[in-house]
Amino acid sequence: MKEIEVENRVKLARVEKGLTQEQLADEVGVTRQTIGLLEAGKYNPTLKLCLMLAKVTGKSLDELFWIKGER
Amino acid sequence: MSKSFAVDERTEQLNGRISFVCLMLTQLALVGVIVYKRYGLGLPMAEYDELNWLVGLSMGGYWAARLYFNGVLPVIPLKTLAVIYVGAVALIFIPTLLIVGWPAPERWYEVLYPFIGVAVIMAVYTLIAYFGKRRLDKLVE
Repeated sequence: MKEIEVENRVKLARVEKGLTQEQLADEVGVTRQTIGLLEAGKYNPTLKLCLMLAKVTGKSLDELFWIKGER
Repeated sequence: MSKSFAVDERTEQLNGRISFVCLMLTQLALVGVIVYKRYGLGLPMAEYDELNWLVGLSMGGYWAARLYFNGVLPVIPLKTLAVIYVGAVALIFIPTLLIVGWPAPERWYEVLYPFIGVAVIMAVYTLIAYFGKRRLDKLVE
């Protein structure tokens, strides 16, 4: 499969929502480290986690994640 | 989420990769021990037979499980299987016969090894391919 780089705006969405990494992690059911790595672009989340993040932050998937160079 | 020993999709993915690497290293180490015992120390096979079984079961079990759960092996039709069987047996049997010759009469059963060996390998392949595909088809349904 072709390797693609995914960029995200999870940190911005989290801060806008007034949540800490720990709080967001608890809300979506992962560890704080996972949120940290995800925000740093060093972890590709599953679709399930993406949907949970979109739900908790009140954003759409499009707003949170995109393929590098396409925005 | 539990703070003491938290597990999530990332850690599970990572655990899987680490387990894979550790399993490969363990298998390689076992093969290394077998090679050393055989060629380094010149010991007879009886001295490390249990290691042979361990490596065989570990590698066979690992690949069988991986192929079964991935469900990616093509199911080969019976006719093609028969052709492959005859070809594989001939490929092993004829050169062996030409090089080693017929076994002694008291060891006549050694003639059957290529026939049985190829049949077992092909049967295992077919079972994994068939049940792996059936499992995936059921999941898709």
